[in-house]
Amino acid sequence: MRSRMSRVVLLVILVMFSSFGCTFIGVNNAIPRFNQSLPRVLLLVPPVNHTPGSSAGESLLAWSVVILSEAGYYVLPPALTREVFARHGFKRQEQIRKIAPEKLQRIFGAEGVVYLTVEGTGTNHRVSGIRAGVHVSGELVDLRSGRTRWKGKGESQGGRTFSKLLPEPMQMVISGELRMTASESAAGQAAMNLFLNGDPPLPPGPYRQD
Amino acid sequence: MSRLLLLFFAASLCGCAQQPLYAWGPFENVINRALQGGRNVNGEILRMEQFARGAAMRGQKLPPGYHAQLGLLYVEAGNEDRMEAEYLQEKSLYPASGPFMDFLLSDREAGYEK
Repeated sequence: MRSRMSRVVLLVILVMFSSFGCTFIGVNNAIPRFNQSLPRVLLLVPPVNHTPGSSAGESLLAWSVVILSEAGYYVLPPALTREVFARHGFKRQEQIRKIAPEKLQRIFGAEGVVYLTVEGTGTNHRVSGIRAGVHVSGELVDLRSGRTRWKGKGESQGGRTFSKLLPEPMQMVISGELRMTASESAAGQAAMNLFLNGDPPLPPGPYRQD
Repeated sequence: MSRLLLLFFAASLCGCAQQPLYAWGPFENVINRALQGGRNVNGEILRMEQFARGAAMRGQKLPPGYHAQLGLLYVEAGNEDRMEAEYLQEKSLYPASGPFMDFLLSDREAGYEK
């Protein structure tokens, strides 16, 4: 009688463990794997802005900090890094691209640089930069090897419409609450579409592992 | 037993709902304004400090660069002591920021020739 009881208990425990295992494996499959060799500390440099007179570049930088941090990277604060660059006469992305990678690594502790480009969609572009649609593209260059680790593009129509839904694995990377706030601005949409829903999306970073 | 089941159910629900890693508050807006040359330094400091206090009470983590940005605002307000405190806070919260914070704290002019 007693042995039968313990067998039942054992069975229950086994079933519980196996179902635990399922959920864990399921979660691991749903979230894209972080590649250990990817840069952890990212330097955002001023975007090349082809929409003159608009603040699309600055707004995109601000939202890129949010999206990239939530995706699991440490993003160096762009207002501070820009200040250091400006103090030494570097204002444009083309100038910054010419700086030796070792120097960027030493001063900022950066492992990767993110280069961004903003273009108006032409048809519905307005100078206000708030509701205008934008095409954005980005590139993540590894400072340690000089290799491009990710290159993608995205777009936003402006306004409040959010045309494309995020693919399911990426929905897990960023919360619904944050997605709602981001989608209220063209720059927020553009940053989400570029990094999370881009072609291809950026892989999640090291601080997203837990 | 039913209490245990309820606990298990709650735990599995927690696993499903994605929470933001950080409490953002006014940070995105502050970065945007700083990049566009906004000059309401004391107002921004007040907003950021107030939100930071609230986040601490709620046990939420402030995002990468939050304290560093606050430090920059304090420089602009002429308060070097608070600047230093904020840069050190950034460094202790995010060791990844160490080299840059050290650079800002040590020699703000040297070592950046072409």
